[in-house]
Amino acid sequence: MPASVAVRGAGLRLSEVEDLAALARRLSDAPAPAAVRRFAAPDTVLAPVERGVYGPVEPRLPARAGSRGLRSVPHESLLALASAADTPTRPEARTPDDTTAVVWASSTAGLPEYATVCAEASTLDPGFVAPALGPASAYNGPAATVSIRLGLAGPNLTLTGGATAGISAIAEAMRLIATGDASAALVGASATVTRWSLTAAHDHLTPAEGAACLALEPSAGPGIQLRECQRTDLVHATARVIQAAARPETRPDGLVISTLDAGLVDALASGQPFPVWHVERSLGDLGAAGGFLAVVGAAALCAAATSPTKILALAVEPCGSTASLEVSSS
Amino acid sequence: MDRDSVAVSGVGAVSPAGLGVHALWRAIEDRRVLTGPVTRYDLSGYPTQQAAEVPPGAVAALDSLVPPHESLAARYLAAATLEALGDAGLPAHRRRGRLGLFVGTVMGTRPLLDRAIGRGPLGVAERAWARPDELLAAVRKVVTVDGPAVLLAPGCSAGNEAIAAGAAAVASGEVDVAVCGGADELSLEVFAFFTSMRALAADAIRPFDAGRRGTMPGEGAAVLVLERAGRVTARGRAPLAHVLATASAADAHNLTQPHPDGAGLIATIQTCLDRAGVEPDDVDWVCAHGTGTPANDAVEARAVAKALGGRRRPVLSSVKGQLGHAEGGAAALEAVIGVRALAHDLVPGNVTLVDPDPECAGVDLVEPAGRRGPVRRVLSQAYGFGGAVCTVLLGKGTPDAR
Repeated sequence: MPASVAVRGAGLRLSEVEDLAALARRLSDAPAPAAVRRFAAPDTVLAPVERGVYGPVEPRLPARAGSRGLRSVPHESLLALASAADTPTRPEARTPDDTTAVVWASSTAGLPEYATVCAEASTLDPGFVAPALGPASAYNGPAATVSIRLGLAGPNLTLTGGATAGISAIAEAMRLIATGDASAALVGASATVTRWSLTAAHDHLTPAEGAACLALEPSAGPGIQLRECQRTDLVHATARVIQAAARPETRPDGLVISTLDAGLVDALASGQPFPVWHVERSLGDLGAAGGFLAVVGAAALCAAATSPTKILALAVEPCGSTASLEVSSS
Repeated sequence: MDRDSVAVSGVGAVSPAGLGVHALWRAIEDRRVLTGPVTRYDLSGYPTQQAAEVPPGAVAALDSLVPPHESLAARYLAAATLEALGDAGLPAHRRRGRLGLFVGTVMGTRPLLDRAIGRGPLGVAERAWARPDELLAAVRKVVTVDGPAVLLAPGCSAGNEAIAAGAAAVASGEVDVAVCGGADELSLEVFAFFTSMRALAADAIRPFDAGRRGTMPGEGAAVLVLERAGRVTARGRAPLAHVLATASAADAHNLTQPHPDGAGLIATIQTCLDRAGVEPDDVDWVCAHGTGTPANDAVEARAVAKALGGRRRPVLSSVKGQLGHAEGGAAALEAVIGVRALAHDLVPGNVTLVDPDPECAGVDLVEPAGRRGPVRRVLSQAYGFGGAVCTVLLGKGTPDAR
């Protein structure tokens, strides 16, 4: 993994968050009210439910993503594509020999497609499920869609799981840049809310949908930098926060945490000389994308600051796995 | 031997051959074709009913090996991990050194929903099917993970991407021990959509055969334990193999079709050779992706012939004719077979090959019996829907042969 990478730009498709400045404000504001929506899963035993969620989010595809052949592309892949196409990249990324990687994190990609194939397999004769749904029913739809539509022939990686996957996606992109597999990387994360995802949703959090993407490139010059990714257990991660806070020269200016556990955020914030923001409180539950948004949120806070700023992004999963990353501006 | 090189110190597998690497390698050596009628699901009414299943007896035997979990893939992964750590001489708990988990999958725990498929509206009971991190739940109960826990789902290159990520984590010092592997269980959802795509063979998978008609789903898990070579020898053990190089790229072409020139595959093969400092003729076996579909095999053979153009045609075979296509488990199973091939100096054959496809004439297709002879380097490639490609180059464990 290289010592650091630079953030060239960001693309966002989040509920009522247009840009990094709005994201920085949203993290600090009181949680926004959630719109109640009705979710159904036809041809199943699942009863429709009404639930307050952050969303829906419309893809609003930029021209760069093209418009043809998108009818059968799943909603989450369209959100991913829109956020990636909105992310400023180096001009070289559009040349044939370029090896810009696409690395994506999602807990929900392909979930409604998988379930729909299962429902069709139950209600239709064998061999009659929609052929277009199956290949879109794995986790890698967003990364594949971004790579294919934007013509990016560098490594194509998808991570899934909980919140740490969003930070691990950045760690793996940094690794691919360091090994030379990739010249740069579009790293992103996404989530959608469906009747299917609600079967596993956490009662105490607001489910949310959206996508975000960062363009990373080898570190050069001023701007926002990412460095010091650590992936470890909660004990070591807590020690990192406490040790960093103890000395002025290592003390961060803030901490952005992605976790399902609000109590953990309160515990880590207790007695700290810097502010602590909680992704899920502000933006809702985005699964694996939560960890990624901790980094994007930290970048947004750095960008909004008027002086050089250093913010730690941390993702913690219920099993105790953690991932953290230092985000700084010069 | 370079003490800092990345070594394979242990391997584990659950496959249609049953539990363990020994059973898997015996099936390869004995040329057993492990595809057959599916027993786990009712496929009456489907035009084809064949796949490669982990045998029911082996599934039952998991009860005494790993904690209970609804997901078979999660249990396969836990069993393969325990075997691999035991093979490496590493305790699952109370270890010295940091351990990371790098696991590839295509469908993860989603096949739990398949059990609800029946007649009429779909019944939905389990919640774990919608929680991808549940795939690691059984492993976490038997292994202390204090480093990264990374679940990679880039399509069917998953197992190789897990090896690439784990090898990099060992090389950089992020972890001392990388548990790298892949896992998937037989999915009726996959079977249903492969049926609708007309991608399934009725009798046998015949990679690189002129009469190939398609593939068949398989299942299983395989794990390779990676460490720095010096750590392995310091325990008084010899590395089983070395990870000489890995490389990743993408076709950026089509969701379901490979690039007609195999662009991503060629790029990864050439990068592996460059990184390892070896020539095309130094590769003794190309463990092909070889799914047996008309779309894949000719493209793959041409790409390999182009990327490995040397004095001789590249020696190539696919084990999918025996094992089916285990999706996220496939590349990891093939890497484990590669490790055994290096140790036993046997290149597995194209067991189901009857009539070699003239379009694949650029490669030296191994006859069904396989070939005995020095195997010093194995190149194993994997790719799939979405266009992601990852290739791994393995070398012998003994220092003189590298």
